Amino acid sequence: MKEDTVAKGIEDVIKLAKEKNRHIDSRKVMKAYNYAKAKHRRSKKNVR
Amino acid sequence: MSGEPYIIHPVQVAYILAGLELDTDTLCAALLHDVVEDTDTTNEDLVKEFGESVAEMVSGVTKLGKLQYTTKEEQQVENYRKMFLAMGKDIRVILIKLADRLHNMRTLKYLSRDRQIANSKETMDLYAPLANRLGIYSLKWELEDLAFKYLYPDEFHEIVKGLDKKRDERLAFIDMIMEEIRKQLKNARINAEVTGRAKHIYSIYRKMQRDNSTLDQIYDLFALRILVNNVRDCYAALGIVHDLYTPMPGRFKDYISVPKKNMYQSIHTTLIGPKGTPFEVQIRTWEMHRTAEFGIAAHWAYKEQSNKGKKKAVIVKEDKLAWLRETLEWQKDTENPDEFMNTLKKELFEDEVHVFTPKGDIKVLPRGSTPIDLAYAIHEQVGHKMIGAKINSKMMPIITKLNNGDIVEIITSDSAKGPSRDWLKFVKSSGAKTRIQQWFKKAQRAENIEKGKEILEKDIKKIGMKHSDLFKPEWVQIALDRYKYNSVDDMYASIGFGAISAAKILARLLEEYKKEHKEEDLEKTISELANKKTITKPSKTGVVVEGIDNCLVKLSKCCNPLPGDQIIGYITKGRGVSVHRTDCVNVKELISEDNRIIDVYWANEAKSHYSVEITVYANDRQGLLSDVIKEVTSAKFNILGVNTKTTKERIAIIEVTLELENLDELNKVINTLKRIESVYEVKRNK
Repeated sequence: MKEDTVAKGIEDVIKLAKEKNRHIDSRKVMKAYNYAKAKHRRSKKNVR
Repeated sequence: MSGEPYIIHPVQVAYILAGLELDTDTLCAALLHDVVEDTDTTNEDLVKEFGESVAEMVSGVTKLGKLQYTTKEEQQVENYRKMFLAMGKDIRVILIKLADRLHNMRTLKYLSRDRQIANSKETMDLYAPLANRLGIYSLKWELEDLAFKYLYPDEFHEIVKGLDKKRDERLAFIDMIMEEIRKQLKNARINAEVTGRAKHIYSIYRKMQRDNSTLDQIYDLFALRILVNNVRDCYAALGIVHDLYTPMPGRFKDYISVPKKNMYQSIHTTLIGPKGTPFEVQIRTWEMHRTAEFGIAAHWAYKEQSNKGKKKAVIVKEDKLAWLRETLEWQKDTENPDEFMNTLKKELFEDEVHVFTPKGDIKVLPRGSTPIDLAYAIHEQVGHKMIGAKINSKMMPIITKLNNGDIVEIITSDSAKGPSRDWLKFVKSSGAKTRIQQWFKKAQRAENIEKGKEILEKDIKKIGMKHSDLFKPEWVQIALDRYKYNSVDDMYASIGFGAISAAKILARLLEEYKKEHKEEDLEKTISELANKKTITKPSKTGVVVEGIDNCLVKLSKCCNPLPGDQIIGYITKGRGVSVHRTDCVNVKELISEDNRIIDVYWANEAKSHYSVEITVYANDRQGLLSDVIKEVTSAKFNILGVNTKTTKERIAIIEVTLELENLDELNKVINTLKRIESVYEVKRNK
């Protein structure tokens, strides 16, 4: 897997998304990330 | 198990989609794509928190519950069906699914060998072709290479090793070529970017398989790409590279003038370089390159609404997804999940054929398509009204398979009767199939209503009654309620289609009739009829009923008996005696009711006219019908009606209703007609 195909975290996602599409609503993306993270953490299936 | 926190996976999926320039909602849905499946979150929670659009996308990628299906395979196919239906509504669903699959493939090393093989096979069979069909080459290549790595590890590593061995030599070769091309493009003042790239491992493998060659025998392992600003520069650049190097015959493809179905546009040419080494060059504009990399995703754009400053996602070139929608439309009626998958896979792998209309428009059709497919690709009505086709100016059967470059003219007629059921056997495109099916659904209803009416009328006549005797609105309503029909037409359509027998409806109506007529004592009537003295006075029909005088006698319409025919009588309920030929198809049924069969015979002095139907079969030719009519009329027989049709094999079927006195006259007519040129059979209708 090439290095540039891996995001180190959600910040990389937002950075790339902003570069590619200036209309990205980073707050909404961040909200979805936090929501998913919290839900998965509480779930039985919290590791992959 | 990788042991990573679960959130890493959705983050990587969102990252892949961010690279494809997707919008906020898609990124949110990517981050949330497993929460409904793996956590206590419901779809309603997502609607509340993130809106309908995000929730719908998540729902589209969420697998179905496990309890509804008997087998794992059935569940899997239903999952596909659900996903594709969601994708038909919003293409972003499949983009999330493809990104999800790509990240799963990138992390496949953590799974067992069995799972690696199963996932790779599914990727190769379904997801990579899907990425290809949607034109997202950046995903397609990686999915294929990863799946290939797990399915054929030895072959994969052999190619990787082989490529590394001569890597420097090949790079030096391609650098030299690139330099030369850059120089010439600059001289011609063409603003271009020239890059070199290694071919993808799976595509090299396929080439080795196809040409039965080893890696050393494949020279164009590297390809050059020239990106320019506009189409004019594409062709100018092509001229320059063809001037510099000799093009290899048969290896030129212009996907700019004839784009692929997945929107891909580029010029491909293979050239012979120094020392006879071939290499491939792809030339396209930046815009085309973006489409090639992102495919359908490239057509998601944002539009600012200047007056309100609101952002709105719009789908550009939505018609590019028409193939998918057509497949789904066609699949709506498919109950069988296997059939669904087969059609879908066929659609995904379908090769294409490019044909021209006489006006020069290019139509892209699945390989193996016929003029019927083209007609429906032009317009639904063109398909329905099609009566013939000219391929390269020559009249050809409409089921001829089309070849690349064919110029096809569809011939239509306003009086065309519509498609034939046989067409479904020949058409290749889902679009044509769907439209033909829909036509039948619509047209058949009307046809079935008519047919149903006819069947019911016939059955009413068979029992010697009239429509008005039985069709009282309140009785009809009872029958409709009993069999749960909303309208009389629904009932007729059902009879015509064969879903219910006319006898059942009739029985219900008769029941009501009997109630009103105080249950007419049928048995009594029969015995009275049978015990009467033998009188040999013929009825108006020329038929004598054994032992009964002055009774109502009717010649049955189902077999139209003629003096000379062997006949049998049937005592109907209150409508006298119905006379049938002994070879009539309905007699078998009637004979089972033994106590209602009565002997009848033709009176010697019978002199009347009877209606007889015959059918003439002939190879169709000009003037055939007029010859048939001429022969019948010159033999001084009266024609009551004529009905003709010609099959697609050019067989003419002419049904003639004649007025004759007896069997001898009928035989005479048949023999006369048999002598007409091209007639090969004349039959009396049963």
